[in-house]
Amino acid sequence: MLSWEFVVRAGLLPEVAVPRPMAVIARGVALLGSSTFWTNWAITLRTWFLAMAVGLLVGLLLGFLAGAIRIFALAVTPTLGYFRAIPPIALFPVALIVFGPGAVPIGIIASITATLTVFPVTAQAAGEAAARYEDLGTVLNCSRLTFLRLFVIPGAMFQTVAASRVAATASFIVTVAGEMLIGGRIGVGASILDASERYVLEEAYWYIALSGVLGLLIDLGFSRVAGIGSRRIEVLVSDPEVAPALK
Amino acid sequence: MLDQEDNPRASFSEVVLSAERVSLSLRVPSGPFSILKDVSVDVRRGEIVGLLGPNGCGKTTLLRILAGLIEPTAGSVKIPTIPPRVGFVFQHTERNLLPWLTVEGNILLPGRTSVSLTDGVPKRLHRVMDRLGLGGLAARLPHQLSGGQHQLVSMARWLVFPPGVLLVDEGWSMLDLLQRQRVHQSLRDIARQSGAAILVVSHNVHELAHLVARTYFLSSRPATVAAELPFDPKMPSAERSELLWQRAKEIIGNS
Repeated sequence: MLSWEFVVRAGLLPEVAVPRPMAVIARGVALLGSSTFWTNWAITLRTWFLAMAVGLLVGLLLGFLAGAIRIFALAVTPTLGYFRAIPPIALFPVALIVFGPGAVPIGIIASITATLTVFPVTAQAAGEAAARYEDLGTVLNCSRLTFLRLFVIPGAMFQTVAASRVAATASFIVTVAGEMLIGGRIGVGASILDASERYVLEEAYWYIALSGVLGLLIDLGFSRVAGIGSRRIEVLVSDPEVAPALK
Repeated sequence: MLDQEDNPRASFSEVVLSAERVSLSLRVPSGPFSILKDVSVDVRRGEIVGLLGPNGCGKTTLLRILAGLIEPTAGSVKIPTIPPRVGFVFQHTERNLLPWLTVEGNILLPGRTSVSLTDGVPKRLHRVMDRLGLGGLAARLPHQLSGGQHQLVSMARWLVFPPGVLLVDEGWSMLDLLQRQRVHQSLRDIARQSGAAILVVSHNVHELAHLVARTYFLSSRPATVAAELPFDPKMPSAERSELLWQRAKEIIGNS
């Protein structure tokens, strides 16, 4: 912050393009009392959270199935690999034509982003776990479902949580970008664009800075989940009917 | 020729594990590649049998066929039908233990996959862990253990849940002398008490001589049973060891 303030005050960057941080904070504090500000964040976070949740669910499900069932992997991996090569933002015009402007097409593209990010890592990790423990699972006479629950899912969990962390951030980025491109007049992305067009750059930078903070919180949140997950994973995979009998 | 009283097979009546003329060939670009050819082995209830052979001859492959992990291209395998049918201590410890489960969790894994295996488990668990020196390690994760301790945990699983057939693929290669003796005694105990038929792969001829009632020698690839050496139960350990060593040198040296 001090460097930023110094660079702008020293005239190294034009203040018309980069406002001083104190001016950004002052504008931001003023915005805290505005209901529009909170509405924008509520809309963006709702769109992102639903998109991420659905995207992760689909990506994890497809990934674990692809890891555990070879034929399924052969069927879906090329298709998803094809779509992964397409920048999600390039799909916005298509989504706009099909669904019109608003949160729905943005959520769908953000959701696809989460799915395409988490799927390959999950499929790879699940496939490796299945191969590593296949012999032990067979010797223990596991059903396919038990093998998935006791061996494959926990065996792939660490990589999966790491991929989910990336997917959550990526879907947030796509959500904000989508609000700029096809979101109409509401949401954080739309507000950044609107403030920029009005040359109220302090406001735009305030939204941008808070987006960064939120991205960091999402990342830290998933890091925390990964930490808790690694400690509780044995509880998650234990059989509630059998475990008490063994204690 | 051993008489009925001296024949080690006589005291182990029921064959619980058998392979009849088992062969395994793989198709490779240069043509069929034969790994095992007409291998016949059997292990009886309560019997401990050794399997010796040169490196890479197919001992592990034979164990995997016996465990039902690989389908042979010819021949048949008979294994018990009542769970836990087959226990397997794999050569590579990372295939035996799940890194996210504690020592106790790993040992109790068969109980999680089969609800019929919970009777008397807590008592056996503590007895086995104490006996193998794992008592203070129950809550540790595999990455906190040494290689030898990994092998002990892998072995402990099948001592707590004695299977009809136990296949041990170099299951104590990283253990010190004292721990090996504990494991050997534990294997003798489950063979005697639960009637487990145990087939052991080891390169340590002297240890096998002390532990097993018979030994199969596999030739190099394509592996066949080059010889079967039964021990007279009355034979002193030193003589067994010398005899096994001589035969191993003859067979492995010639193959």
